[in-house]
Amino acid sequence: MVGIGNAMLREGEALIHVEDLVVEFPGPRGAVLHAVSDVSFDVRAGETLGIVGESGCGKSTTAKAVIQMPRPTSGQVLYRDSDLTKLDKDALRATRTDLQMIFQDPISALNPRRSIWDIIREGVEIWGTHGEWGDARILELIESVGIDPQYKDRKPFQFSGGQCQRISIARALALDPHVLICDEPVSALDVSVQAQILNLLDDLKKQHDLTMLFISHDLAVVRNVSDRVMVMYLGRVAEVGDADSIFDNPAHPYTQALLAAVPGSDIAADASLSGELPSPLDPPAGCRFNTRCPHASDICRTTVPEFEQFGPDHWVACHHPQATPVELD
Amino acid sequence: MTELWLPSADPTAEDEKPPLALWRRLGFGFWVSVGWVLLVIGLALLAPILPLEDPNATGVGGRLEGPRPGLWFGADSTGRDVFSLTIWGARISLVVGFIAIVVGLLVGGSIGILAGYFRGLFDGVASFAFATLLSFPALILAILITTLLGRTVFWISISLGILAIAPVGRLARAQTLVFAEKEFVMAARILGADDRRILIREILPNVVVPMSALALLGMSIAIVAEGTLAFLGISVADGLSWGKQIFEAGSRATDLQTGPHAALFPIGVVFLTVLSLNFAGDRLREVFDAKELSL
Amino acid sequence: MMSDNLLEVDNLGVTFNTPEGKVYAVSGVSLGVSKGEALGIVGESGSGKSVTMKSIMGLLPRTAEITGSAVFDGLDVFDLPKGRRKHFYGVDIAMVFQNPMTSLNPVKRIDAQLTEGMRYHDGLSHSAAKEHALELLDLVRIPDPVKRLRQYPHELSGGMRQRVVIAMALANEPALLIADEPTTALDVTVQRDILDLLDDLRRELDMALILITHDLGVVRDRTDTIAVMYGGRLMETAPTAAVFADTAHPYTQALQRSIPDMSTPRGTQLDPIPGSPPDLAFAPTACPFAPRCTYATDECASAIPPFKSTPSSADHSYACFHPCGSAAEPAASV
Repeated sequence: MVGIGNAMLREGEALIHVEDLVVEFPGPRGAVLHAVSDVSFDVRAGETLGIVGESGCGKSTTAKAVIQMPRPTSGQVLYRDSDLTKLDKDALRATRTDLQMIFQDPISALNPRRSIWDIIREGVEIWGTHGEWGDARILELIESVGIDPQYKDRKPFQFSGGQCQRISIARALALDPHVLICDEPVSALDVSVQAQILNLLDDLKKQHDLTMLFISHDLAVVRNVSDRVMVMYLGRVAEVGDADSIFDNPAHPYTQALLAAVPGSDIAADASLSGELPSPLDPPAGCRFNTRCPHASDICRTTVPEFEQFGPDHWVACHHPQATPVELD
Repeated sequence: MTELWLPSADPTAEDEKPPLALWRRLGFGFWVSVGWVLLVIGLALLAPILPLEDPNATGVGGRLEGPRPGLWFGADSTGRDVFSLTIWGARISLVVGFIAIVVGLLVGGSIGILAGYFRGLFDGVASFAFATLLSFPALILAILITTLLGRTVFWISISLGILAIAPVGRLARAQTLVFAEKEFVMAARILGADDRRILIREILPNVVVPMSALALLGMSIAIVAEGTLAFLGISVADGLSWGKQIFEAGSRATDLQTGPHAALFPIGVVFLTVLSLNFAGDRLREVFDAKELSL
Repeated sequence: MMSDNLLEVDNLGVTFNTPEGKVYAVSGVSLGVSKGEALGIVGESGSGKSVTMKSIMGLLPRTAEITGSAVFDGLDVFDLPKGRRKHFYGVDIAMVFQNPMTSLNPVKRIDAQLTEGMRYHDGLSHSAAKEHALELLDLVRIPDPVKRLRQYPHELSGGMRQRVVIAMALANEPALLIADEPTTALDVTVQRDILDLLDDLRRELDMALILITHDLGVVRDRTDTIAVMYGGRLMETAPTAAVFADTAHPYTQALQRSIPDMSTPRGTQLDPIPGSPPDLAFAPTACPFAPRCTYATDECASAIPPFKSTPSSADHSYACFHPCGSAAEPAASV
């Protein structure tokens, strides 16, 4: 896993095109925390890319690096034709309005001291885009996420977690973005409310022609919403491609282990992981998964695997892929 | 989407118990405290037009005469009206306390918020400055400033205000650190808000509540500190203050023995005022903290 | 319910007095666990599942008013004799919480934390306690236990920490272990290991296990009985297989339908439960699920449905006026 190379970047129009993204943070005593290493992927307009992996795999950091929060250490993030990493502060501020984000914790995503009307109008307020952006449109937006507009003057604490997530979604959509980054949008919600939010996101995606990055540790949820899936482990991409292809025919031992861990999974338990997640301060040489991989050999400990095509839209970075490649013409 | 929204299942729907009004959640004690402070402030403001004896007029009552109708708090050793003295003294004591804490809030609060928000070098310098201010003996600093710059209301207030900068600033910085990490700040940034807007719209409203609670506390501390300066004989040179009044009434043991009321009445007023400010500040913090926890 | 249960909870009610008014956290809950049995309690936040167990563990604040009874092995849990208390919690019943980090003292080595309880409860000598600690770490399948004993909690991964917490809970071989969302704070890959471990330990030690979770999938293959809670009340209790095969309560049904699983095709519109979880600020007068239930009628909003058995099994009970599955049929014939 933990592969390198850009074989998985597709030909043709991509809305977001990320190449060799590296995000490093200063660690204790001069060490470097390798949060994201050499990650490349692309997302086409209207597509939903699901990013999965355990906590600490860099999935959230990758998505945040796309919108330059914080700016990546190196690499390219092309959105349409502009490289976001090269934009100056003001240009970035303007371009970034096109890529909005919703968060895991619906409570801390809303300022407790402001009314939801103020919160949702914030974007319009900043850019002064009135006229067609008038209050009527904001009211419509509030209603379209399933909140009764008569409660618009209430503060966030007067709403439930699910409703706060709806308000957060309305705020993100107020500037008519093209890209919505969803960082574990239902993980903190009550089970009975999760489906509401997933359906809402699906409806809004169609209505607003959204392109989505959907980050989650819940594979069933990711399977439900994603066109394509990217599996990450310890800062690198293990496997990427069409969602059905990856879930039905996982080739990377790590993807298999993830799938085996899903409750009720029929994948054999011996695919489950042994050992501990290595520290991102000192990731293993070669394939980063080699310390926990049941199939690891010498080459895995020395050489970083490159991406190889495994199906029409299915790339794997592994020296010993565990499935039969689909015949390609 | 909209079909998911059922008004009947909505916890914010009509059948909900109305959330307890803020004024009720603050409780009876809070309003008694606020009432007392407002009474003292009102009397101090209205002192010139109230039918009071001239506080400087001696011989209004007998020497250390006890309280009686018309001379509610009795008279001091020179026969001045203690009630009138207390009300006139409130003017300077409250002004000193108020200016001191405003200085602390404005200077300490802004430095603290900026340090917590921008971090980096500015934070390092600010934190060092706060630590220095806190480790400098407070009384010595106040004595230094008042003796060098003069014993006017203004300089006494300023010197006490400087003492308030570090505690207020540290609280503001700590609060800002907490809120700057919250996702709503990130959301605002993605929407295109610049630092100024984030500081004013997102951070400030959240930092103001704990700071105002501290401000009430700080004001009471400043009032007591003025009293301490008065005891050292370096409070306001001209005019009356609570500290000065208590000092004058209590400085001679024989006076204190024969007519303790001349000191005890102003002490009682100071005590109640300081207690009220403390209590109100605590309640305010409790209620708002609890609200935040329930978020 | 059988009377030879190890733990028998009868008509439990818990209300909290808060500055905002009363909160009716649990009402009318009756449960039983027999020796060696695994019971799963499933519910969302605010369903009362944790409060129920905390009342049994004596962990509720003083402001909580508890009604009803809980009897453990012939002992009234809410009125423990003085002196018995010390040798009850942690000895007869032990509990494992969601976040292993808050259950461990961050500045103490693992051995100190493990042996402290043994020396307090059992008066073991230092070396005997240490030996027992090693056995325990071995029991919860921690590799290299000698080394682990000398480590601090922060040196362990989340899964290892939870294993240590489980080891601590097992120190006195409790007859009942209550695990409150033991895997929620852990990664998916670790989750399965911990659940398997709890399952194995239950069999090895012939210990009763109550597994509290919000995730039906977690209890599916690992419990004998499942109790579904909502809004502070019990909705349905049944042998685990029956909960899935012959769901009686509309809430249980809606919960299963609303969650995507790996076999759900991509892009499937989910079947959500409308509305929001209930407000517990009212004394219960109706079915708490009624406002969100597709089968609800006026009756559901005006009376509390009694808890009754399905015709197919005496162990399968539900609280609903309009049940689904096999429970629905006799009602239709009336």
